[in-house]
Amino acid sequence: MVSKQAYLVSDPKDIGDPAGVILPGVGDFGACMDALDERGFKSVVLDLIAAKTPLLGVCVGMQMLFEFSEESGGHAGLGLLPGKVTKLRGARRLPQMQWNTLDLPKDSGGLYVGIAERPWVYFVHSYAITSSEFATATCDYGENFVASVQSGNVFGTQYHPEKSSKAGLSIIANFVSIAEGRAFETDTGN
Amino acid sequence: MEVVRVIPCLDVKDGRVVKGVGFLDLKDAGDPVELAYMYERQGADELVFLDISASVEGRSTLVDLVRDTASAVFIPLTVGGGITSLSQAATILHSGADKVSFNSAAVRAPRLIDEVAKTFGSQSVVVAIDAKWINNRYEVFTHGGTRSTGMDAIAWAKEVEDRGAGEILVTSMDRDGTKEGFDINLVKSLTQATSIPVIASGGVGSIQHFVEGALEGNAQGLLAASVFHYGEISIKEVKDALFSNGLNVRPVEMCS
Repeated sequence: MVSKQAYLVSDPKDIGDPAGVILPGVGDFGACMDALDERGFKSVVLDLIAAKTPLLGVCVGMQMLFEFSEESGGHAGLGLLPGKVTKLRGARRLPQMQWNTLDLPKDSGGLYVGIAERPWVYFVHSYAITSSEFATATCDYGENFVASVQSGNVFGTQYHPEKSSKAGLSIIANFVSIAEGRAFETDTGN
Repeated sequence: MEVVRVIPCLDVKDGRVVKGVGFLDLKDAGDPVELAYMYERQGADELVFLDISASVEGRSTLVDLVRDTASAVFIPLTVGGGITSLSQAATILHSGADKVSFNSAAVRAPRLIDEVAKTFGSQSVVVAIDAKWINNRYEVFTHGGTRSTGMDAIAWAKEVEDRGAGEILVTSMDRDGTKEGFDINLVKSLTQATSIPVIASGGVGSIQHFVEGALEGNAQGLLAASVFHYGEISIKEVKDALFSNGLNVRPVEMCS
C-alpha cells in the first residue's frame, strides 16, 4: 500500500503547497478541459508545472498534457507536450477496456523503478497519443500507442495505475517518491 | 493485444454477500470487502457487485461498501442492481465504483444511458441485458427476469451502444443456473452486432465453458458467480485454459 496522505481538491484555493499533484480525467476530453478551465485549475496546473512540482496525469489527465485531441469535434489541451490525441483506429473494439502489457525500455527509471519487465496494467480509453518523443512506455491494441510519458517533472499514464493492482500501486509509490524528492524507498509492501 | 477478462460476480444485500459463498479460508464469508480482496489476489480482472437490497437502508449501506472496497481493492469495480437515476449513479461512482450497470431502468428510460454517458463518460456505463429465446429470437426481460418487454435483445444492444454505453453484460436466462454453459449463439449475436466490449454471463459449469465463451462467443469478459464462490473452479484454472487455447490473459502469478 502507498501510505501517503492524498486530498481531493475541487477548488483551486484549497490546493496549498503540495509535494505532487495527480490530474485525473475520465470521460470526454473537451468536458475535462472545460471543467479544468471553469474551476480555475488550468492556470493553477500551469503554475505548479512552472514551479517544477511533480504532476501525474492519468488517462484523459495524460491526454490533456498534449496540444490537441480530436475527440468530439476537436479540443485544445494544455499544450505542455507536442502531439495530438487521436482515436485508436486499429482497434476492433472500443473502448479498450481491459488489462494489457506495457513495453518498457530496458532500465526504465521514473515511474518504473523496480517494476517487472512487462507489467500488466488496466486501460479504459478510445483515444490515445500514437507517438511521442517523451514516451516512457508503449502498448499495443490493434495499433501501437503511447502508454506513458515523462518530461521533467511532468508524468502521464494512459492506463489507470489506481486500478492496476500490485503493479499500479508500485507505480503510484514511485510517483510519490519522486514527489518527495528522494530515491525509491517508499513502502510498497502488500 | 486483446485480453480476455475473468470476472467474479457477488450478490450483495444490505451490505453483505448473499447466495452462499463456500470458501472456508475466510473469517467471514459474508463480508464483500474481504471477498473482493481475495478475488483480486486470486487473479480476478474485475469485480461486479450486484445489489439486491430492497430497502433504502440497504442502499446507504451499499455506498459505504463501495467506498470500503475501493480503498482496499485495486481492480475495476462495477456496481449494478436497482440503479434508476443519474443521481444514484453519481453517488455510486463518487463512492469509488468504476462503472454502474443498468438493466430495468435503462429499458424503462433509455435516456438514462445518454445522461450518464455524457456526464461520466461511456466507460462508466454498462448495460445489462437479460435475454431469453422466445419465438425464434432473443427477447429482453427486466426486473430480475420476471417481466417480458417484447424487445429484441440484439436491437436493444445496438441501441444502447448508440446511446453511449461502454459495455454490455449479457445474461442468458435460459442458461442461468443450469451449468450447461454460456448461450454461445446469444453471445456471438451480440458481439457481431456491436463494437463495444461484451461480457458473457449465465450458465457456466465447467472450465471449457469459459473457453467457449471467449473462443466461440468472442466475449471480451467472462462472468461467473457460483462456480467461483463454491471453489468448484479457480480463476487460475480458467486463465490457464484460456491461455492454452491461444487467448491472451493476465497471468494469475501477477496478482498475489
